[in-house]
Amino acid sequence: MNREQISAILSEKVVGIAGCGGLGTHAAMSLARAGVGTFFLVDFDIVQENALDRQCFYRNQAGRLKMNALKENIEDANPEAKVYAFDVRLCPSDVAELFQSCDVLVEAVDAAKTKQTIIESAIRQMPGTPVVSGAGLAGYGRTEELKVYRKNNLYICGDLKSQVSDDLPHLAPRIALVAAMQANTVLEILLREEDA
Amino acid sequence: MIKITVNEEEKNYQGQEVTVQDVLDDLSGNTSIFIVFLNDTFVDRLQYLSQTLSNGDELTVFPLVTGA
Repeated sequence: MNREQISAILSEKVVGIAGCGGLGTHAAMSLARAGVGTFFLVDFDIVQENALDRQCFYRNQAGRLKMNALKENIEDANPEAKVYAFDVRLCPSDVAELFQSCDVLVEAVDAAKTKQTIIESAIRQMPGTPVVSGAGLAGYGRTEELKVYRKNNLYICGDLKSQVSDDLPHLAPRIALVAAMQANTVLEILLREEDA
Repeated sequence: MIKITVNEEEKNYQGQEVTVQDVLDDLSGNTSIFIVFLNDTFVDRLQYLSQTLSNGDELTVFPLVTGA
């Protein structure tokens, strides 16, 4: 497939982003640049200055709702993209309601327990929708330990073991690597479906 | 002896009954939060604590740690 064919396919696709922090912003921007046509963004939080070291936001966006700031950044990068943003703290019953129409769901929240809730809800409520999650990205280096794990329609990018702590903080490069792996996996799913 | 494959590695368990929780307890790591598939079927946390395993079962376990 050449770039024009890829762009034509991606422009018809819908991707859900659950969580607009370090993973969600980097994955969404990458997918917007690749040409994904429609995004459903969900987050309840605001952009904080002390998180600009790892999230794809800018200083003049501090204090704004993350989903609105990310919507603006996606539209700047790809003016053709349609972006629907929801100021929601996700609970299990919301997952299908918000993401039912998505071709792929990117799970990009920070807390492990919330990840579990979103993944479980998605598998139960929309089993035909691939879920691309990110887990295990704290610290720096150890690039070779980052992998894509798959079972059925669930894909998990990361090392599955690097828990954030004082000695293993969040740092932009490893977060961006995992987010790029998530975005790349989304493209693989969307383009493979079209190829089949 | 009950033989179970956990993340493609064969493990032997002694005893009359082995549950998914027994396997999770044996996994070393820094989380107690998992996504579990038994053979090809997703097993959620409401079920897997008491889910009994049989000889030859394949368990896929994804530990979940912090994202960003």
